[in-house]
Amino acid sequence: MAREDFERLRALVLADPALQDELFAERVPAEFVAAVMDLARDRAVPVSELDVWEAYSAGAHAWNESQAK
Amino acid sequence: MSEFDRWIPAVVRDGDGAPEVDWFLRGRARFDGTTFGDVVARSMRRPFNFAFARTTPLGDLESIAAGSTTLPLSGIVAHMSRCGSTLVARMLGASGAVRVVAEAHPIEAMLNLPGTDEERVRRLRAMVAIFGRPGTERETHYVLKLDAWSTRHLPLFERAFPGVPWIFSYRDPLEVVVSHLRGFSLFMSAANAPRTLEMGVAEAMHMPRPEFCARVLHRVMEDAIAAGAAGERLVDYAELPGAVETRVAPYFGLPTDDATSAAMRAATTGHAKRPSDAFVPDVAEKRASADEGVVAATARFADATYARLTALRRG
Repeated sequence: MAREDFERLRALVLADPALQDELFAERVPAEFVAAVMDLARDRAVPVSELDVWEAYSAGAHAWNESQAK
Repeated sequence: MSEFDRWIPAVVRDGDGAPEVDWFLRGRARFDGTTFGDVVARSMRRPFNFAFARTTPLGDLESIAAGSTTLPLSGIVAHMSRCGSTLVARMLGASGAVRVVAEAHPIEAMLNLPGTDEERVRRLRAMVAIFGRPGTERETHYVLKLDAWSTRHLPLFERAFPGVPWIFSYRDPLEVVVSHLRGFSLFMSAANAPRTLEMGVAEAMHMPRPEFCARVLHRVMEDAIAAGAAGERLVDYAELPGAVETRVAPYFGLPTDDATSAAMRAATTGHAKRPSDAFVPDVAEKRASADEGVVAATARFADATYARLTALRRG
């Protein structure tokens, strides 16, 4: 369920420009993850820190792959 | 307002036969002639874009473009690389009134995907429209600077944007080869030989580097000539920076008021790719540093094409 829960959180963020700005303002990965966790708790979406780190890592990997081509 | 208004298409991926686009939140990054790679790299310093990038099918570009407010395209800058084209872009974007999207890799990536010419024209119009969404209220005009290797696609750009003026920025190939020998560029890497010279990577890697560079430059210049580069479409490095103000901006129908001219001139004082560094003329130094092999390779493969461009420019 972790992936589905993170997708729920992603849908919330992508539908709300103010939330996007708030999270975009975070420059330090650990602080970004903490901000996402605050949001998840606030919206009662049961994601773990690990879920957020995995999404972050997967995105970083995809970006690095795209730059290597 | 479209839900994609604040997002830029940053990566086009094959997606195992179903091409996809990754979109990143733009933040405050401006398209002022800074290369697209640098703009995106800046937004990728934010963890947000790793965790919350959005992905759409490439086919959605047209509907997203249709739902967006975009600036009309005023002009296109093609170039042979290391030839002053970044200075051209920075000068055009200096006033803040001209949105200059420079070397947007997703365009080249998209043009390399399979598809009919009609499909490619439709996708190109959509992608260019999406890049032309104004980032600030000051932006009233829009210029696209291509990747050097996109010069071969100029006929497709002409089909997609009939009547939109384009220029080809070029420089004496000896100076360009010297520049490429000093610093890596993806454009000039042997890994891209299949695209730039329709040559295998192994063959390219065994070719003397000056010869490879000179052949690639010859090919890009030939592509420009084949597309109709002549007269006012041609801008030699030797004409910079003055030609941007006196020829290019008027040719593209861009503002040429006093404030714009002052901003353009201010943009010429720094190094185009490292604006905090002072610009230092380097023609004599580059030419003096070319060894016999570089001079011979350039003479054999690129000098005659450069001479043709010069003749075409002078009419």
